[in-house]
Amino acid sequence: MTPTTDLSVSPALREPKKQPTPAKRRIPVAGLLRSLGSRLLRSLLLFGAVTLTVFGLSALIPGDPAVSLAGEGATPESIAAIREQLGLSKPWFEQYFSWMNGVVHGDLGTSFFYHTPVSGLLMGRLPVTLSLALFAIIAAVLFGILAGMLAATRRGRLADKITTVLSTVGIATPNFWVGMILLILFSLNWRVFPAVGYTPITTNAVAWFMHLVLPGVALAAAAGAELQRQTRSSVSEILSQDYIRTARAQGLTRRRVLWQRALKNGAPPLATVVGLQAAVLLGGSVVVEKVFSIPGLGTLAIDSVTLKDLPVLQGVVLLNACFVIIINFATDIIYTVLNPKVRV
Amino acid sequence: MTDAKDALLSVENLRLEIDFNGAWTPVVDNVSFSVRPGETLGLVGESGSGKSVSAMSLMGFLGRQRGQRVSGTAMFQGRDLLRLTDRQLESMRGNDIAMVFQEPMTSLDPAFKVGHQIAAGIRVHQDVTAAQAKELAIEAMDKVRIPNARVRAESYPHEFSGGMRQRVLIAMAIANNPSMLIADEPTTALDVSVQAQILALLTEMKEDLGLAMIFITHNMGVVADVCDRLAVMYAGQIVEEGDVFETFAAPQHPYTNRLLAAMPSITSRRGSLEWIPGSPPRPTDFVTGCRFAPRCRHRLESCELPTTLLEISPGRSNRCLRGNTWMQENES
Amino acid sequence: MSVMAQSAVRKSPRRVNPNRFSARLKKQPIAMAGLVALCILATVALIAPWVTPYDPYAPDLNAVLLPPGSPGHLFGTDELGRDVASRLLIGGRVSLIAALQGTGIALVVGVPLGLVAGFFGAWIDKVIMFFTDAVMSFPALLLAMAIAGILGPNLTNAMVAIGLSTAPRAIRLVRGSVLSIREETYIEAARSIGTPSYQIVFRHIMPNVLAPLVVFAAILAGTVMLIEAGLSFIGLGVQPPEASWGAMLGSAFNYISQSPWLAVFPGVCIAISVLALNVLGDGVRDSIGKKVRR
Repeated sequence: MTPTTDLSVSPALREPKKQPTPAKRRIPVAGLLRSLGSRLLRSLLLFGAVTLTVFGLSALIPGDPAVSLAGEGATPESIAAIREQLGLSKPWFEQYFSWMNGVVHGDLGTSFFYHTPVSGLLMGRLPVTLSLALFAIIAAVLFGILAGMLAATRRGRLADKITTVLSTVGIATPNFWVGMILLILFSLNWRVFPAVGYTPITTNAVAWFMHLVLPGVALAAAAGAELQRQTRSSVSEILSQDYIRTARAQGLTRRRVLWQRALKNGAPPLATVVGLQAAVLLGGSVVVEKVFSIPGLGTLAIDSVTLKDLPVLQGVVLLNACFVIIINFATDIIYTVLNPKVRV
Repeated sequence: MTDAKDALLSVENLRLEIDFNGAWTPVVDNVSFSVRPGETLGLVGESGSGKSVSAMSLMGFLGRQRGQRVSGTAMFQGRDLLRLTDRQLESMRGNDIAMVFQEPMTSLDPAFKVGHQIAAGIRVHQDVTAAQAKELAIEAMDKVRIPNARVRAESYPHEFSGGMRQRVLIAMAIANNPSMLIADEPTTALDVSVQAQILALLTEMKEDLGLAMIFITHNMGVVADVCDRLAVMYAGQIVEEGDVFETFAAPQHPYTNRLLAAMPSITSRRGSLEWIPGSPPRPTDFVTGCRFAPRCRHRLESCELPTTLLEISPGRSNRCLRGNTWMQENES
Repeated sequence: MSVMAQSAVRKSPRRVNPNRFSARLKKQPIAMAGLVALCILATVALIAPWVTPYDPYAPDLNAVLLPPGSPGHLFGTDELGRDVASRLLIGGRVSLIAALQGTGIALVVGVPLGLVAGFFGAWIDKVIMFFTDAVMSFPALLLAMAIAGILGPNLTNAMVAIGLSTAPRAIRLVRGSVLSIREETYIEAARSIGTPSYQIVFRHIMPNVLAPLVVFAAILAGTVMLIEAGLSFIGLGVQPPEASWGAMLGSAFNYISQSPWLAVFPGVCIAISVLALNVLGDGVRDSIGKKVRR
């Protein structure tokens, strides 16, 4: 094609020549890798900023950090020990780099209270919180998507009204209060579920599950409600699209259109909300764990605040932030994979 | 009205009412027409005249929800389309009657490959494996002249131009060899140069497959190109029906006359484009008399009487109360 | 050209018409109910110190943990014999003031940063957004807990912590609205005739950011209230004998098996307040006819 012939040929007639050849079709993969790379880099940078923030938490301590952290009745020796451990006599960036050096090697310092490595404490609590968070996010996704689809297909009818009221209330209710009410009703009153504590899945899978139900539901309430709203609005918007009418004109059933077409089109924004809610859930689990006396990261965090155990607190906060970064990264990737337009 | 015996589709007294804040208002009313096998009927009118609404009612997209109701009959292959169950309707759609829509840019699902979308429609109606359906889909894409169909079947809609998307939609429509195709302004959203290609393709498909077609458009020029007969709609009613050549040569209804006059043409002796002053009434403002009267320059007081579509010669009908007497009046 | 540009500049078309806005809002019964509920809550919060039937801080060891409906104590008494109704009234005052404080801090920090990021773009936007993303990598409640824990447990520290943890949301919102408005023709017109930046920001951009910001503030106030309740529940917010609804839940938790009703009323109060804020926010959003993200 030379530029001169361009003028004589209308764009429409040239159209067929623009078809991508099989060779060109490899580009999306390259694009995917490139966007993966840039997102990975961004996540790493964010990790850097997050460590700086977590490290900077110690700067918020009023007065002399060592004195303050040692608490009442501290001996000069214990104050000196803390000063030594935190390296408080050195300039801040040296402190940061030596702390960072530990962090990347998995050394988060030693707990002031337990006198054991923070990383060990975290690892012991991690499966508990992960079990709870996973239970909650699965429950939230199941409820949110089913109730949202139901509402979207029955707009203005009873099922829509009920689920919408439920989710509006769900978003406004503190999760730990939901937990308390569930606790009162289902374990204190009706004794259906155990009130407090946690059993590892390796010890007894049924007990593990039973212990997770109430805190899991409490934690899932807000996320499920948020997902229901999102599903309802995006699915009902999709159902009014021209391409749904096309599919119906082909003879596809309403059910098929709903579960295949609407769900796949609604998936990218839903994935984003799931990611967002997963992050919120991690934070929310702190108080819910306290209500159900679940020995997870949340109770560890609360204890570390009460005990002024700075290394442990920093460790929990950092670990949570890492999870959020990972969740966001995964959400971005899932969004890209699900959305053909972004992919190319 | 042609005799219903040899007709493929015969619509009688189609009426669609919509609940506007508690008042049932007919949007389309007293619509009767028929289409013979292999014949193309043009449904013509301004936007809001009820041409798309009529087609949507036949396909069951309108008239079945709450707040809408449909009456009349639409006999198609011995069955009344307006009285099918949802399941019967689904097995009819895309199989016996297919539809092509106005907006190729938004009528394809952005989340699925086009090959998959065509194949999905095939698998609903034909007992084939996924692989066979894929092959049939590629075949259909070949038929509508999508170059490199096998490769293109793996592309997503956004990788296609508007014209190509409309080809995909046509491929979807013909994939199950329907006996009738409803094309709702299939070229309106396309570039002028692409419009001609799509029209040529539709004509070719119609001839190759022996398709009957209802072609909805507001463009009289397109009607002349593709249609055998036409029904002109105004404000939810058919005002004139007849053979394309006869109607173009001697329009019987003043509205048809004005539509034809508004058609741009190289041979036009007038210096400027004709236009019809005013705008069509909304369904809530429909009157019992001639609905075009307020915009008609041949209006008499008697035009407030109720109108009927009268057969004036075999296959030709007119709704104008003045018959063709208005033609003697001076055009100015 | 300049005449046209000036007339375009004079009326910012996106500015919300107050009359049509209130008319549309009035048509939404749920949003109006939220507004009424908030007005009642605010009134109660204002006059609470003078209308409590009992001294909310005075223990009465002869009337400990009375159930609701006991003579003289409509909602019963707590573990120290204090009247729950009186404490709910005072606690509401504390909770609402806390919500205002936290939201205020988030807006004071977030709005200017969002404006700067959105309006100037380029590297300054990148830097601000990077740190916004960094802060948003922490679950708000956890970060607030850490900050409040380190600063020392009291309500002001908790509200500073919550404000700082939620400020990034304000930055994002304001930046987003500025970005969408910045490309509008009338802004370009204003720029082309040499209107100084600060004037564009205050005369044309701010009024348009304001509407979504109001919606956001209402919903943020609800979120802040929930976080405050969480912090006070674990003892990092309001300190005894002072009460906030969250703190009341915290002490109720210790008596959950003996006196479960203690846990009911404060929770209901929180839920109603947050609900009112949310539905009002949603209603305002629907009335200004623009998309605002939660």
